[in-house]
Amino acid sequence: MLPAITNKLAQDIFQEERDVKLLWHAGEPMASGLKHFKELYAPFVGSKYITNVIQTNATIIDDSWCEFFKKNDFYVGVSIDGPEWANSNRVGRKGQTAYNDILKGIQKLKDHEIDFVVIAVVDFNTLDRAEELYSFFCELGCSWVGINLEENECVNQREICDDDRVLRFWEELFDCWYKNPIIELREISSALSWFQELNDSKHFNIDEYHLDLLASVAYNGDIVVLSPELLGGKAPMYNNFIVGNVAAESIFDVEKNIQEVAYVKDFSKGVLTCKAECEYFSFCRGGQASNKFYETGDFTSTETKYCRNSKKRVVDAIINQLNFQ
Amino acid sequence: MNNLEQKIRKNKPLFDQQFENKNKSSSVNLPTIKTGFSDGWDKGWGNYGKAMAIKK
Repeated sequence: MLPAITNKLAQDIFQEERDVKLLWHAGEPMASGLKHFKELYAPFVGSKYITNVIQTNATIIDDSWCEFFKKNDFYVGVSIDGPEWANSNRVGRKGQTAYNDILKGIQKLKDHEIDFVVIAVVDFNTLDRAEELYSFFCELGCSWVGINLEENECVNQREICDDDRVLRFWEELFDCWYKNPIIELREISSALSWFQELNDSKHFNIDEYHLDLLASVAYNGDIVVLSPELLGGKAPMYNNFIVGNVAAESIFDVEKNIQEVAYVKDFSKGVLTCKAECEYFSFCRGGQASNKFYETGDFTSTETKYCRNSKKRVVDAIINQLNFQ
Repeated sequence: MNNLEQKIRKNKPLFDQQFENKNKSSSVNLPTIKTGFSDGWDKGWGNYGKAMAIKK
């Protein structure tokens, strides 16, 4: 990415005077090197409108990066999938395991007293080892973990298709958390939050749902919406999901006309069908656009493996473990 | 409300009891019991702002 892109984006944000969360991710944002990253970040320095978060595999975190994160109040997320045996897919350019380098990066964060969270991918090898996974993250020193069950999206073709094992995974993970709730688990947290909302709201109303556009900006300024995983995807009928370019127009102008974009319209249709058909809708709110498209080739589709693995079975597991009648 | 939502509501006393007892028996505040749905990207940073807010 060139600084001209972030310069223009900053200009548009400041003109709009809106709070924006900038998430630096996709690929490895730190691979650009700190010097170039500072150039990209320069237009946002000190802005009251910007919250910065970065998702990284942490392998090149050093003292200079830590000082940069602290100085600019970056929230840091580390991609690590559990103990060493769970990280066989995380390798360096020469194919060597990245695990030890990830741990070194995490240690640097700790040395500088920088809080961090974790996003972990769970594959078939981890599904039966939830207890080991939870213990590892408790000891790692993170405050929050998001669990992504491996899914078929764009470049990744592997996926988990075993409802029973997935249900047991969430049951075991919930039990571990319940006995020792020292870190937050995103999926458990979201489900329990929904339970509480259902219990406490006198007038529970799922019509309050709003489409989360979640704009993603590519290296060249191209903008896609709904799911970051659509960035770089091929779909000629949808202009490869590109809805505009930061260099040519304000991202907020793109937002104003977003309901006219074909794939946003199709996704909205799918969400409405989810709402009409699915008991879990008020929890999941219609699923993820990227999963609908990459799994079924159709944004208007409803249930996906992502829905089952990361939404429905989570709810089912908690209901089972709390012995609901 | 559909059947699933009714089932959860019907078990509210049990739900409250499970977490009330937990709070009494532990010095750790349960971090995840809070109102509001996830925000943002469910597979990425949804809820993260809330988590940080509670922690701080």
